[in-house]
Parts: sequence; structure tokens; C-alpha cells
Amino acid sequence: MSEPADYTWNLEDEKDVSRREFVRHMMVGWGSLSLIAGISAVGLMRFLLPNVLYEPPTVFKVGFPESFPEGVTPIPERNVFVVRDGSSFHAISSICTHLRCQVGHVRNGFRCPCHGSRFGMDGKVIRGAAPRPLDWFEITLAENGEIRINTTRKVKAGTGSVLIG
Amino acid sequence: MGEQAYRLTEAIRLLPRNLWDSVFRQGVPTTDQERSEAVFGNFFLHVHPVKVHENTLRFGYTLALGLISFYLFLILVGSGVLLMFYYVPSTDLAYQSMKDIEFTVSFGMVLRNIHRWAAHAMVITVFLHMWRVFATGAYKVPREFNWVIGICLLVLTLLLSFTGYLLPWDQLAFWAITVGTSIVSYVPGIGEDLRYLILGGNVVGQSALLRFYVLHCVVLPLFMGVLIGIHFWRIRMDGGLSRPSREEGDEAES
Repeated sequence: MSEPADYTWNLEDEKDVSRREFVRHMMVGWGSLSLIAGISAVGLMRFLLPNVLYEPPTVFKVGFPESFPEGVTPIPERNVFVVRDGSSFHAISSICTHLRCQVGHVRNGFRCPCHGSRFGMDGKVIRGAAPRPLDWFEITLAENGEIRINTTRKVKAGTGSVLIG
Repeated sequence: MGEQAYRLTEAIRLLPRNLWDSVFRQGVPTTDQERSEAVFGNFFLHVHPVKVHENTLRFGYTLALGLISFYLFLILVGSGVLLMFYYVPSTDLAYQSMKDIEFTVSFGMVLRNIHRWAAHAMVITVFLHMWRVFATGAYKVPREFNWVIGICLLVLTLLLSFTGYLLPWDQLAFWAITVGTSIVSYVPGIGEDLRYLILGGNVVGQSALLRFYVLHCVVLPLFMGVLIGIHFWRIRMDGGLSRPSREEGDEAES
């Protein structure tokens, strides 16, 4: 059995590190560490923002114009109301502009059950917490004659109606 | 090898003694010094100071609200882990698995309600604990940083409540989180992006449920555990639990 090595700390063997050298080493060390941490933080944020969504479509057909009765037809699974006024059709969002609750159709307008906002038939705020009127969406006739709504394209209230016949 | 160190029969005879001695290094303490060392050297007891001031132990002063909050957290971790064995964080199965826990799992209804009521109680006791600390001036120097950690713990408690709210996936949960995350979108500038990040999309759907589940069961409890550890550590470092600064006939107290 050999003798254990002598691990006594020998100060005279220590290489002197100058202040300048120490600071340089620290800057390189901490600098590269912060760089890696920074890049990782940006990467983490990017990772957490999904690129592909499995959500209901934003452009969809809702049926043939003839199938809609006069007045308001709610389509709750698509969060829109299709409003028929004779031969004119338009689409109003059913999502409250206050905190995204589902508004309901009441006489002469719409009402939000969460915080009591009231909207007129054109979506204008009558009273309540809602800061903006209900959105109007682009409405077109699809090639097969069905009504198509595009919720990514908002139109000015009172415009963009599609006329039939 | 020469002579055996000890015989097998002797080893078996000494086994209980050896096991005991390996766990408890010291014998039963007899002096105050040894008693202090026993507390200090024990992992579970070292959280507690070796010596406490008499006034610290007065129930009427702290009302034990911090410790009650901590025990409620332990209850929530225990019951929560058990609920995780049955709960499925998928939009198709979440509500059904919650109903299964309520009505088909043995003691499931008890566990779910323990989790639910302990969560409500913890929010209340955390607030009362803050009120006590404020009322007794225990947030003042040198405990001001521990108050800040306490604020972080309050925020974590509320975030845990909020994320747990969505998991039953019923109408209440859906609309509460719809409204709650819509409030986030009012943050100036980055509001809509922040909401997208939290929900993992534009609607409260599968990715939102999964995100809230991971935050509720892993991320937030981990932060909570670490901050609770620092909170307790700081109590000791900042001079022990706060107590009345002066008693009648006791003038040397700081």
C-alpha cells in the first residue's frame, strides 16, 4: 500500500492572478453565462407560443340563405349571430367586448349575462361595461351558394351585408 | 483474511441496535446542551429554533395563522397528488374523470372536498396571516424582506386557486377562466400576447387546460415549496418569530 499523496495546500505553488486577469476571467465567465441564459429565456418564450392551433375555424359556412328566418339566428358553436333583414344578411359577433362572455339575443338587441352590458341590434353599446360595440364580420356567398363568414376580417357596423336575389 | 470481525449470530443480534444507532447518532440527551444539539442536528426538528422566547409561544399573538397556512398547503399537496391518479387533463375526459372521483372512487368525494375546502381555507388563512403580521408590525425592519416573500407566496396561492379553478372543466370553470384571461388582455401593449401565452391559443381549449394543469400540479407548487423554505429560513435569520417587544417587568427585551 502506497503512502497517500500529500495534499497540503502550498501557497508558494499558487500562481499569482493579477487583478486585471481576474476581472477578465470574470467578465468572460459571467458574460457567456448571461448570454446563454438570455438566449435560453428567449427560446423558452418562443417555445411556449404554439405555432399550430387546433381551434375552431375562423372562416366557415353557416348554411344556405333560404334556411335563415327573418331576424337574428344565433350560431353559438361559431360565436356569431346571422341577422337577416329581408334579402340582406350580416354577421355580428356574439362575444362580448368586455371580457369575452357569450351575449344573448334579447328584444331590440343583445345582452351579456356576465356583467350586464346591453347592445343595440347593430351591436352598439347601449349601457354596461363593454368598451366597444360588437364586431361585424365579413360575410360572402360561397361558390356553392352558402353563406360564408370570415371572423378574421372585421367590417364597419352597418356595412358588408350580402344581398340575395 | 485473518480473523472474522464478528460472527454472523452476533451481527444479527446487534442489528436492531445498529439500525437505531445509525439513524439516531446521539443517545437520549440528558443535559440541556445535548437537547439543543438533538434538535439542531435533526432534519425535521432543525426548522424549529433550539431556543424560543416565551412570548413567541403565546397563541394569542400569532394565532398560528402562518403554520395553519403551511399545514393546509401540505394537505393540498397530499390530497392533490391522490386526485392526480384519477384526473385526466383532456377536454373530453376532464369533467367525466372529476365526476368519477366524486361518485365512483372510494373516498374520492372526501378527497376532492378536502382539496377544495383546504384551498378555500388557505386563501383565508394566508390573508389573515398577512393581517396579523401587519397589525403587529412584524413586517418592519429587520423582517421587511420576508414580507416581500410573503407577498410572493400570496400571489402564488391565488394563482394556484385560479389554475385549479379550470380543471373540473364545467361551465363555471370555462367562463371563469374566459373572463379571467380576458382581464389579462387589458394589460397595455402586450395584453393579447400575454393571453395567447397563458392559453396556448386564442380560446379556452385543450392547450389552456393542459397549461393550467401543468402550472397547477408542477410549476406553481415547486415555486411555492422553495419560497416557503426561504420564508421559514428568513424567520430565523431575521431574529425569530416576532413577539411583543416588551413585557411588564421585562426591560432588556429588544
